[in-house]
Parts: sequence; C-alpha cells; structure tokens
Amino acid sequence: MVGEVQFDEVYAKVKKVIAEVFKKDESELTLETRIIDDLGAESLDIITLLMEFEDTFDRKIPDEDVEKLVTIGDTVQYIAQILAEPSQK
Amino acid sequence: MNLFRISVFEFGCGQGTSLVRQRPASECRMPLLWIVVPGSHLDHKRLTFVVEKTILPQEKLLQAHASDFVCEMNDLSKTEGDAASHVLGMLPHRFPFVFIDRVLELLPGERIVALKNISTDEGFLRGHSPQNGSMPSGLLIEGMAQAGGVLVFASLPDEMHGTPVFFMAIDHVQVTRFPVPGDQVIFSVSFLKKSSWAVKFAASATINGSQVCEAELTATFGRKTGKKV
Repeated sequence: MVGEVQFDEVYAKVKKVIAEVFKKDESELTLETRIIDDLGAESLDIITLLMEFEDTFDRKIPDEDVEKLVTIGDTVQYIAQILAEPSQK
Repeated sequence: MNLFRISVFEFGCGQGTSLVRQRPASECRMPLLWIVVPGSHLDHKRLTFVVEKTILPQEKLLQAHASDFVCEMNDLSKTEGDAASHVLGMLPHRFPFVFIDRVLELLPGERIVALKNISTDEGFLRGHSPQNGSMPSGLLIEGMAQAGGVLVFASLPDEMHGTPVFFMAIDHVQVTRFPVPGDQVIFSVSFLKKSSWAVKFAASATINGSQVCEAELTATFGRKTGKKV
C-alpha cells in the first residue's frame, strides 16, 4: 500500500526528471501522460529516463518491469511501490 | 591481514598523488608500482590485492614494489607491459582503432587516467588536414570514451563480466585544441552517474597540464541483468 504523502513526493520527483529529460514544462505533465505516445520517447530517452530514475530513487528497475511504465501515473505508482519495499542493494 | 585500496601508476607521467611527485626525477622510470591507499577493498577481484602489513610507513611505501604485496589473482601480471595490456585488453577495440596507449591510474567504480602519445605515423594524420596533421576531435572523444570503457569493464560486478558496453551519448563537448605529433594526451574519466541501465562520465583530455577537450559521456549495456555497477 502506497501512502498519499509518498505518492505525492514521488510524483513531484518523477515529473521533475521527465521535464528535464524531455525539456518540457512540468505543468504540461499529468499522471495520464504517456511516456512513449505523448512525449515521443525513443530508446535513448527511455534509457536516460531509467538511469535518472535509478539515480534519483536509488533503486534498480529490472528489465521485466519496464513495460509497466506506460504513463507517468504508472511510473509513480511503480516507484512508490518499490520504495516501500526493503532495499535489495 | 588487512585489505587496502590500490591505485596503479606509472612514474614519469606527471599524474598521481603527492607520493609520485615526491620522487626524485632519476627514479621516474621505474616499472609499474602499486601505491597503497588505506580504504575499503575493491570489489573487482582482478584488482583486489591483499597487503600483508597493516600500514606501510611512507618511506617503505615510496620504495614498495609489486613484489611487496600478495597478488590474489594470477591473471594480472606484475610487469608494466603485461598489466597495461591486461586492462587495455578489456576493450573490444583493436588496432588501428585503439586510442589509448597506457592506463596510468585505475580505481574501479571511481575513475581512470590513461594516455595516448601522438606519433607522426598515426593513420589519421594521412587524411586529416595532411599539411597540418592533427588528431580529429572525434577521435579525441573516442579516446576518452575508450578510457571510460576500460573503467566500466573494470567496475562491472562478476555477474556482468562479458556484458557489451555501447557509447550512447555525448553532451557538453568542448574542444579547444587538436593534438599534434609529439603531444602526449592524458585522458581523465570519472563516473558521474551509475545505474544498471547506463553510466555517465565526466571526461577530459589534457596536454602538458592544459585541458584541450571536455565532455560528458553516456554508455549503456548491451544486455540487462538488473545489477547495479
């Protein structure tokens, strides 16, 4: 179960990372924004994004979980969830 | 028996710690020496050594040779040439596309310093402004990237050995001078970011202590294992 506070904190950080990588204004981004379809992410962007997420949240994102990250909302939910779990580092 | 962090230097190249600079010039052509810095031991087994003494006094350290330490791994030779070719052998590149002659310093997980001597018979001089032959900036960046490649390979955990690494992006590049024959280019590369997906480096090239190129380089892994570098 992901708390509201943690979700909001993660959402703010995820939006900041995405805004920097895609050079967008944070106000343009919502939970429904689709990373590939709406932001036009290509393979280089995806890897950059994953590297930035791992660096920002200090958690690993394995291959098999990447396809879950379709929208910003999916990403926030996923990261908030792995942050709630004990670190595997 | 304590574990220490090891840096590898070649004397006479103007790089390294104050220990190197303290040495008289007459001793600056010694074979490769292992300089011991107290700290946690390195994860990478090929560069992990066990020192038999708790702390070496500084005088002893200045004169220490590889033979003073017990090398745990057989595949890293104690001779300069073999050690240099060992680390350069981590790269998939081969002649004529290797732009590092020697690794001067390698701290897995942290940084690398490598050199390239520019000679008059470099293949690129024949076609790159033949009248005023110089090393093209693209190859200067390639040299920094290859140094970064050695750093990544030396930093990979055991489970990721053999993973291909691809040069992915270059940012904030600045080239202020093209190396010419006779120049010795020193590449310095250190990690900015590490993740299981990609790594980012700060890289620079200097000649006679003056920076001639700087850039941020990003490399990604050819297959994923989800292991953090």
